[in-house]
Amino acid sequence: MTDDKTIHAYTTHVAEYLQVPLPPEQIEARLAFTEAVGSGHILDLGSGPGSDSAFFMREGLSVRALDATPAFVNHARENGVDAHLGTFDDVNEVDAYDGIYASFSLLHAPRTDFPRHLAAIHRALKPEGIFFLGLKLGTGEHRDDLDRYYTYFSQTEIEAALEQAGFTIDRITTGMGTGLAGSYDGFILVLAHA
Amino acid sequence: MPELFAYTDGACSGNPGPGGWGVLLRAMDGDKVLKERELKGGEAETTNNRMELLAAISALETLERASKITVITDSAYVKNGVTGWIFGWKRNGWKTSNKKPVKNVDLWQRLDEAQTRHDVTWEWVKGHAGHPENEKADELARAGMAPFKPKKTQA
Repeated sequence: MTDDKTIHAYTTHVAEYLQVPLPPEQIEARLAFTEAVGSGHILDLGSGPGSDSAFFMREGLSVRALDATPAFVNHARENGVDAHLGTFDDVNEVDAYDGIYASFSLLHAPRTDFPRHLAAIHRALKPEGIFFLGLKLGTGEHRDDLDRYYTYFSQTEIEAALEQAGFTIDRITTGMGTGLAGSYDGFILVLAHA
Repeated sequence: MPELFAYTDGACSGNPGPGGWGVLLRAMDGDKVLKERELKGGEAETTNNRMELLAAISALETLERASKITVITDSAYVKNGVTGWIFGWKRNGWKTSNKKPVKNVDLWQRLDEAQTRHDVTWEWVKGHAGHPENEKADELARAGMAPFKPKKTQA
C-alpha cells in the first residue's frame, strides 16, 4: 500500500529535497554499508532522487534503485541510475542482492506491513547479504508539515522484527536529544546481515 | 556564546566481544544546559579501545559546523593517542616507532580527520569516579552494547 500524500509531498519538493545535506551519521553509515558489501549488486530501496545510488555506483557497486515517487525515479534515471518505479511490495526477487539499503524509507509504510517487508528483503538478499535500515525512533504514526506519513518504531521493536525476519544485527547507532525547540525525533541506523 | 562539551565512553564485554559506545553532548551557557544530545551504538564483535575511539569519533563527526569543543574521555588510550602518539604515527606513515602498523589505524585516521574540522580540547577523567556526565556516557555505552550481549535463556 502506498501513501499518495507522501508521494505528492515528494513530487512537489524534489529540488528542495536535493538541497538537504545528509547528516554526518548517515554519511558514515552509508560508507559502513559500502564497506560491508564490498562488491556486487545492491538494491537502493526507497532511493529518493538517487543520490545514495550515485554514491554506491562511484564506489564500484552495481545498483538497482526502487522508489514509489515518479518524479524521484525520473530524476535518478536522468542521472544515470538504474531506477524503477515501484513499492516495497515489488521486492520479490530471491537471492538477488549482495546488499539492500533502506535509508529512512520503510518508515513511510504502515507498521502492520513492516514484518512482511522485512521478510521480502531477507528473501531478496543472498545468504550473508548486508542490510542497512535507517528509521526514526518513537511511537505511533504521524504526518509532518509536508503531509508525509511516518511510522515511528522503538529500538526493541526493530531488533525483534529483524530477528524474526532472520537477520543477524551487526551494528546499531542511535541518536536523540532535546534542544531549545523542545524534543525532536531520534534516529536509528542498523547494519545487519541475512 | 555557548560552550560545547562531549563526554565519551566505550564498553566491551570480552576483549574482543560485543561492545558499545556512548556520547553525551552538551551545549552549556555557564552552568546552564542549553542543548543536550545523546548518541550511542554497538557492535557484535569489537574491543574496548575501538569503542572508546568510536565514541570520540562519533562526537566530533556529528557536529555539522566547525566548532570549538572539549572532549572528555576516561580512556588514556584515546587521550594519549590523540594528543601525543598520533603525531609520530603520521610522521612514520602510520607505523609505530618499532615500524609496526598502528593498531586500529582505520579509527585513528577517522579521528584525525574528524578533529581537523574542529578546535578540540582533550580532557581525561578517571572513569567510575563519580563524575555524573562520565557515568551518563558509560550508561549510554552499556545501552549501546546491550543488543549484542548474548541473550539470557528465558525461563
